[in-house]
Amino acid sequence: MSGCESKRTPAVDVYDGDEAWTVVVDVPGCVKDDVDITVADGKLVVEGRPQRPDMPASAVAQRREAAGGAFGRTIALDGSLDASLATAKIDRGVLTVWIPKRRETKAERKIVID
Amino acid sequence: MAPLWHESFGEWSGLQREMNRWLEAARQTMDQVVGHFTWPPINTYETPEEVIVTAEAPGMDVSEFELSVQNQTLLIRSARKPFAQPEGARCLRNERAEGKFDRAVVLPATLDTAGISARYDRGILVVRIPKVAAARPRKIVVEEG
Repeated sequence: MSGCESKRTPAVDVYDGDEAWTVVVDVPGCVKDDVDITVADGKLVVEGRPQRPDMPASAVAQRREAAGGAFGRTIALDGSLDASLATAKIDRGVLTVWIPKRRETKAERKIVID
Repeated sequence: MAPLWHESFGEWSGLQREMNRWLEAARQTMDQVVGHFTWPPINTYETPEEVIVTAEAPGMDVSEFELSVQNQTLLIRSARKPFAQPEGARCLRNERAEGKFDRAVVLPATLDTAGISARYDRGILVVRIPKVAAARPRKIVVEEG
């Protein structure tokens, strides 16, 4: 791979729930140590370096649709993210990130007329 | 003068490389226009002993793959379920491929398709097809005398 190529952007699904955001990212070739996830300023940043399947040293590439190499993706959510409670898992090359929304005080307040 | 065999072969592989570049550019454009036209993306590799085909298809059950070989063509059929949408959540982005997919890879005739094996790990399917003995490189010992 030449160094001047831009990072690949993986496909994502984004779900906006009442309680939390759920973001699903295709990260084939990755296990948990291959992916970095950060949440800041209402944005989720996912970066990774997938491991390619083991190939014999003598293997010569004939067709190359999957580019390989590092990938990165920034997903704008909103300012309600509670990063401290976020969780993530990787299963069979699919990363699922769950970020709860910060609870706002919604208690009703009765206003008395003087 | 007619070109030597290796010279014309060199021209031919240059032409093939150029054609591959064109096809790859066309494929990427098609993907952008019509969505997942070629999912899962496939790489192929060749060694002196075998041909290796990889398909990046994350999030599948192995039972969702159907592999077959017909007329020297490897057919990879797969069906990826959509992500189970969290209850009450709105879907704001849905880029990940879902549904049924067919990919076909034409194999050289020098492969032993009976010896095919496949493995799925970290969301990548790896199919290995050994070459027939006659197609593997053979060292010839020169005898003296």
